[in-house]
Amino acid sequence: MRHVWVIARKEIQTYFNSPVAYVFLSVFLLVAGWLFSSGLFLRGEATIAPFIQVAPLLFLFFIPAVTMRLFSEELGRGTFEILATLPVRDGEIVLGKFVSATVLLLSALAATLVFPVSLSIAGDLDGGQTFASYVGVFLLGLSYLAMGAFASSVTKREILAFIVGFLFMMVFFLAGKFTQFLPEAAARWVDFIGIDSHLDNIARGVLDSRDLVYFLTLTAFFLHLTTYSLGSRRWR
Amino acid sequence: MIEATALTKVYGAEPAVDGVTFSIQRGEIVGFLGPNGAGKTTTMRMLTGYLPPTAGAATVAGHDVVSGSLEVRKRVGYLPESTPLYPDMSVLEYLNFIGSLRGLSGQSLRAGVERAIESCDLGRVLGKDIGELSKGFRQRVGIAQAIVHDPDLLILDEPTSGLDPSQVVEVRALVSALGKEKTVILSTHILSEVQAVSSRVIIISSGRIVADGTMEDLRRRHAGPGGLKVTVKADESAVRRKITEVPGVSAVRTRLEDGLVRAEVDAAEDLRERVFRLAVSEGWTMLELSQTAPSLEEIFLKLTGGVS
Repeated sequence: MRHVWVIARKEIQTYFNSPVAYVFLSVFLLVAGWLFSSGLFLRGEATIAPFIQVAPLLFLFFIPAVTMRLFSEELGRGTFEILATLPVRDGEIVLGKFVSATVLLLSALAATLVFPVSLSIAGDLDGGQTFASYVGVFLLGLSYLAMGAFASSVTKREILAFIVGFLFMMVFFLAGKFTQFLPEAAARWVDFIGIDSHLDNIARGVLDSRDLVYFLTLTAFFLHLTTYSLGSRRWR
Repeated sequence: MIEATALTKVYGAEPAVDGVTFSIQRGEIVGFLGPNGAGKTTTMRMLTGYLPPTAGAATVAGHDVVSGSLEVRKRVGYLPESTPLYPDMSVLEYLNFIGSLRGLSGQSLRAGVERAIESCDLGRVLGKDIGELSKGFRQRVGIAQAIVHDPDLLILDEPTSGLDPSQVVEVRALVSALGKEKTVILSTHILSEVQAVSSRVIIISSGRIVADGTMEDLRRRHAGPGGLKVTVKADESAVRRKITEVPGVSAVRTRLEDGLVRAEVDAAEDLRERVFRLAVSEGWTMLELSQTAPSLEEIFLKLTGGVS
């Protein structure tokens, strides 16, 4: 576990020592704020819902930008060879990197807390629903981060890692939106695979364990795949 | 320290390393020498546990490189080819990072990092970002990260490639100094490097070991016909004719230079005495007579199938 923290700390420093993290955070906040406030005034009620609705779309572009360098950069520079020949397990490397990206995600979400805070000052905000919404968006972010990490582990080109990550997230993003065109039996499955149904539940303030398990499973699955992909040098 | 038995790595259908067997004792400095693409890097990657062998086996300090990979990695310091480092980390941050991942902490981490800094003479650049350093310093940082945990075995892949001559000398001196306490394997495609730092050379060509031994072994075992260099004041055609007649001579090449005849004589044995007597009896004025051994370059090229 110590290795995980050492790697995470180094990655967090790398993020915050370069302008990348700050550009990312400010652009994220700007776009999120704009989409949130324009939705807010259309609705005319004190709710965080507009932010929760745009978050999956926003993440679709922002998360791959965060994760694309995680492994691609190391593979491209060759630094992965040193990392992989230290007495550290591949899984620890993956977890350390994932934790660092999670910290960046949390900072972005923390920055958006100005929305609910200002809402609660201006009007009557449903605290429980807001909290649940944030949990949902965070879990969604975790799943996306894991997909992005996997994409980054398969290529040494960061741009390619961005695109591959984007496509993976896109599949889960769109799945729930096409259910009305599918036959009943398939629609149920596709609806379950997509993020929409799960996020909708959470956004309504319902923290159902099935939805939590869905996101956590998705995260664990892709992190596992990432470890597997890094280890593939051994049998390729 | 290292036992490799029929170590083989196949990429696709091409064997990069093809049944390599060698054994390295504690305290040796061994140079892997071979042209680019001979399989040096792949061999090192298998020894460090980065890549598993397709066939064959290797043990480092008694641990199998596949099943005991973690134990092997603890005992080896490794600098991959072209010294991959993080340009946006400072030297000190980087050494602390590697040391921590090596399982060092607190006092042992401080001591390890300090020793590495001192060995590699990095005191002046500790706070600098690695990306700002010259190639020579970067190389030293690469070596420092490999010795932070004071390993018994150091594996350095082309530690001097891309350096300017004075940096090459520095890095070689550093490697020699480290070799006093540690077993060192370094790869290179430069022959003089092996001569300068290592006691033993393993020449690899097309994935196979073509020679293994000390420099002297190599010279003795693979030296082809030696030769003589003769410079005399005499008639060129007479010199060629007479020397060719000396028993033991297989070929003579002569040329005229500043009124002197320079002859290169191929022979399997030392013919200096016979040629000297010949010159005396013919009344030639002898200015030079020396035995030439084939250079290591020639041996290397012959073994690796290169063209001289």
